[in-house]
Amino acid sequence: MYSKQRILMSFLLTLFLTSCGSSNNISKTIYPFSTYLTMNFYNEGDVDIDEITNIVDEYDKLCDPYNSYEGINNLYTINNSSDFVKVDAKLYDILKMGIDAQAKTNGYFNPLIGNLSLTWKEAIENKTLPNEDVISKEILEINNSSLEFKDDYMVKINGDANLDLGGITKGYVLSILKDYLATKNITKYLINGGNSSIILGNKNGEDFKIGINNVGAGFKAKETSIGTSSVDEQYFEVDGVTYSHIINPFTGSAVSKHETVVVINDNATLMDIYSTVFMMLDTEEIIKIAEKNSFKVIVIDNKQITYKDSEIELYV
Amino acid sequence: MFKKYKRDIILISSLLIISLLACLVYFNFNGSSTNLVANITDSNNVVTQIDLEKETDTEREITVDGLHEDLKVGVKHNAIRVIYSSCPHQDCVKMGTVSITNKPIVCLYNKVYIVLISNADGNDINI
Repeated sequence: MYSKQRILMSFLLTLFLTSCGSSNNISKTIYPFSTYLTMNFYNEGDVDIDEITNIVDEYDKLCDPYNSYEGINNLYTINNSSDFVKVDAKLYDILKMGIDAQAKTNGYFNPLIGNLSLTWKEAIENKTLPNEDVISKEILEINNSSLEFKDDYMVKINGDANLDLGGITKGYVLSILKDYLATKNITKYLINGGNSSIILGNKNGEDFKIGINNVGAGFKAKETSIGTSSVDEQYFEVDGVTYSHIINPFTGSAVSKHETVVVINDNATLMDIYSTVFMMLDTEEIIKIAEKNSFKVIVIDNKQITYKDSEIELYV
Repeated sequence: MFKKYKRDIILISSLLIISLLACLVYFNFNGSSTNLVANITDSNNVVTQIDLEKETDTEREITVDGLHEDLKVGVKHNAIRVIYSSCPHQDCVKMGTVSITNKPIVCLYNKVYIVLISNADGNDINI
């Protein structure tokens, strides 16, 4: 007769071997920067979702050009002041980065595009082309305006243009989150900012599968950042021409050269900036810049991939 | 020696086979599926899943908790749309019917997020 100990051990062993491993996946969706941010963590038991949410909320208020918040000098404050405004160091840093990005992109990224962006936002909402005189006036304002910085986090707009950091904020904040997660040794995550700025850790050690809408293909990636710009996000059509939320600060035009651009690199801030900038450039120019900066790029036109970095392997 | 521990070896082997079979059963029922599923996150961050593969071609209406007012959402076979929302810009309503995975419908005003997922393509995200 088998001993009772052996039978007990067998039972315990069976229980151990057949117990279902429960996944400890955490998800949350929040709504900063006039869009959504979904956060997914895979088997990361020590994620402080509230702290991450608070980090994002803080930047949301600081970078809001349309609303004021008591006790906070934010983008709205700067836009509505003719004098120097003392801001939080976080906002000061983003603004400085915005000016650097303007230089790096030869002006295709311009943080003083606020009024022009708003004009086209309203146009998209009303599905009506804006007045060309208004566009010309706003381009002139942009050209005649500048951002001035002083010590002690003081910032001032010279001229009539307004600030809008829509082209950099999501990527910048995701960069912040990426650094934060690294300090906490959190590696298994996917954070998606409005489907245009994405940071990836890994999925339990494995790659994530990233599908590309409209082309029936995708690629695998992990531990990187992805920036995407697409006319599909917000647009309207007039006489067969597609007008989107991507505005050329030189011409005031909202007609992009491409349907979608995907940029992959470790730097989430640059991905946000360049995915937008590349929508305004010819493919040859995109390739030159991408090679110089070690970006991997996919360009899509008329629902076809017209350029893809050779290191990106697609699956169908 | 084998004879001495024969019963132990048989017992442990049997347990390992049972475990393996249990794993196969678990992953088969919880693994890939070809159903299109709607993940609806309401204003309380509660996620409701609706198996759209099982819906008919006749649209039915469901209510989703919104921050300011509840949304009316229409679901049918592999498709979903927002029928009514109290948001001022109506972006979620204007989006119309969505039957593509990972193309979210978002109502910022009422803090509702709807996205379709499918295990058929296995993508974690679609951009």
